[in-house]
Amino acid sequence: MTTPDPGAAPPTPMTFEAFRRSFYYGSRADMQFKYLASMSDEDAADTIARLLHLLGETIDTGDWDRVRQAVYEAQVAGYQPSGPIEPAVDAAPFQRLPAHLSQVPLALISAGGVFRRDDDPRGPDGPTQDEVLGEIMEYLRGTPTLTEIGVDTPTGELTARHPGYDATTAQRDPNTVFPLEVLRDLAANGTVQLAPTHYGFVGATSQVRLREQVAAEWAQRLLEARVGAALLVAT
Amino acid sequence: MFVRAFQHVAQLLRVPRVLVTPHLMGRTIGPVGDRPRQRAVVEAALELLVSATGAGTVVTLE
Repeated sequence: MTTPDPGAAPPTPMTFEAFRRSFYYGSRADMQFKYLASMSDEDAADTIARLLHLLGETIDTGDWDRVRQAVYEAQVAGYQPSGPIEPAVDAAPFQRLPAHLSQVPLALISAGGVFRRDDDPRGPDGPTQDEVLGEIMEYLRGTPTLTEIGVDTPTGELTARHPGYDATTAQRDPNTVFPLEVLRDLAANGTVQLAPTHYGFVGATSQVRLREQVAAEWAQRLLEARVGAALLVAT
Repeated sequence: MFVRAFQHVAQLLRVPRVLVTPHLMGRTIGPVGDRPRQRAVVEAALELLVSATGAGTVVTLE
């Protein structure tokens, strides 16, 4: 135990604002609760107090659904836009499905950062989930990479990494954001026809680069693969 | 497919068909290991793919 230096200046008390902001890529970075940074002090304090209260109750009751629901409601409130939404694109394309689902090759495209363990888009020594949080600004300025995942890839060969949400969830179960296993089950009973290749990318990226540099190229790849419909999963 | 917290992003991008799920971020299709729920979400998305009649169709899953 160190002896306090009587001549040292007292430590600066942490403000509540600094505490809640530290969840947003700060010393307490936590992608499940990073929205606390954008809340008012009062709303953030009420949110934390409610969660702690429910947590205390749940120790006795084991009713985790109430905790889960409270976190969900806080997330929904925490991410609400402050004003009306102005669309970022002019066109709102729509096309009916040309045939029955069982006759149209369907591709899964997930923004959840899922990839094959043996095909890491960052190379064999790619960063960990914790490490990639420190690269959020580079991701938000960068061009996204589309990774290919074969339709028969076993779930155990998939993993995920993403600087915008806690991808340890997808590491535990890729189907949370990349339901290829679910789609394979549906294909097995003839409900749907799956394309040979499916796709993952990191949705935390430059939206301008995504829209203006790579979207057309990705669409062309899908057309060349004879994909007739796509299921996009945001995180 | 979008979680409820980010439904407004679909509006921003004018996605042609949107299934909104009442799940936590990072779990759009459902909780870890909950295969019945994940299947129900994917089936709802496929149903929307077939049944939507125009751009901007939004279905909110309970």
